[in-house]
Amino acid sequence: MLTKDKYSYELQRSTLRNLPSNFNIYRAGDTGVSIVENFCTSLEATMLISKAKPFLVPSQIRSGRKNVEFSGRISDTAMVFGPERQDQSLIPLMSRAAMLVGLPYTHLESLVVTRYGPGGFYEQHIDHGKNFRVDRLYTVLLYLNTLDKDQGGETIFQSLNLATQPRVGRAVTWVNKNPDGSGHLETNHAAAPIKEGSEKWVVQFWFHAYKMFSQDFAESALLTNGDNDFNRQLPDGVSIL
Amino acid sequence: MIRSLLSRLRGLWLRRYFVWHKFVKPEIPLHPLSWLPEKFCIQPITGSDVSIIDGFCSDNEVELIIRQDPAILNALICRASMLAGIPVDQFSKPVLGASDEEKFIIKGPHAFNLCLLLETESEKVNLFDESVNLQIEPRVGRAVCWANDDISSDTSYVQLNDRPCKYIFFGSSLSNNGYHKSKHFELKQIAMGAPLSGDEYLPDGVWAPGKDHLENVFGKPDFLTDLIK
Repeated sequence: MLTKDKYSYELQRSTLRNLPSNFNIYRAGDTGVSIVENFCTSLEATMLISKAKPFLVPSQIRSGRKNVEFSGRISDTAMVFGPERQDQSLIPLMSRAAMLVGLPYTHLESLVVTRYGPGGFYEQHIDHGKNFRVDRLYTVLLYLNTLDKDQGGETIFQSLNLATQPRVGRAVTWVNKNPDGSGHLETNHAAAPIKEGSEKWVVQFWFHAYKMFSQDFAESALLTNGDNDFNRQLPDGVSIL
Repeated sequence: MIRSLLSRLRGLWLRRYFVWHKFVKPEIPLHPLSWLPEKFCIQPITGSDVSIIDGFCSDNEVELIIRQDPAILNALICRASMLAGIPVDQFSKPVLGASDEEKFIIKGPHAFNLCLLLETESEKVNLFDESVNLQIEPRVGRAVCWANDDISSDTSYVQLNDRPCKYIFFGSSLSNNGYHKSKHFELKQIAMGAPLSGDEYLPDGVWAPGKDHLENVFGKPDFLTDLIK
């Protein structure tokens, strides 16, 4: 049995070893937003979509103490990992997101896949608040399919003058809150409407400052490292003797 | 009645860490991405614990690294810490060196090792590790990192031979070695994000859309941005 320190080190080691090829991180100027290309493989994206499909329900927003449907958010969502549904095959992806924010994956809120159908959109909003359900420190937004510019669906950070087009495996990540609890209001963002004949799939990883669930999947998580991309190309100027 | 009581109890159970941290402030580690250069590319080597990272530091940072500027060394430790999943205070003092015509070997009982090359050379150097023997063309900002199987032994090493090449080496253990304190690291994430000017290097499909884009897309004024201003 691994000790806690040794376990988290082993998990990280396994995460690094199983990153997809060309895991590129770009800093978008001084916006505080980073773009990650090849966060997941197409196979992992397809797996997530197929896991989400049976559980899709109309999206809601938090209003006071209740979840309500809202005309400014037209989409369907499915919880693929949460208190009721804990799928260990998602842990490699969760650990990858955790590596980017420097927190353990147990700080993740429920993992929610969202589908925007034709005409679907989400008006400007911020991801954080003071309530337990939205007390989110970091967001990692991962696109699961690709849309061209003429198909709409871009994520627009108006205050930061930044827009990103959905590309399979592209993740956008930003800081919602400071360690002192103050929020970054400039991270307000919107999902542009989807044009007829298209759809957009995303998954949100929201990290809290504290643990959200206590299960650690120990050795089994180390064994399920998603899609091992064993046909990787070596980087330019590198060869194996 | 019982169902409602059970639902309330379940809600309280889910919130247990949230409530606890109202009293005990959670310790937030540094946000690694705030410390990265413009482009950072991780390439794991198949079947080994070795990864090549291109863009680990920018060209402009090399001079500061050679001068051992503490701010840049801290930033590099933050980047290595992100990859290792090991807190910054568990990294030992960085070792700046240059291989020469004699073979140079770095050994040590480190859990995680990272060797950052600070020069571009057209001829390859050899890097050996227990799991893989690599030949690498040194490039400014190219880092090689690897993990040790047996943390307690001196087994893993890197060997830069034949060609002179400047490098800096970072190693970490699985416990705090007292060299760094996390309070020495500035909390960069406190700064508010600044809008893109349009001159930044961005990947394809990411752009600075201008102030009217949202209104054009949604066909109505940008109420939330105005509110923030």
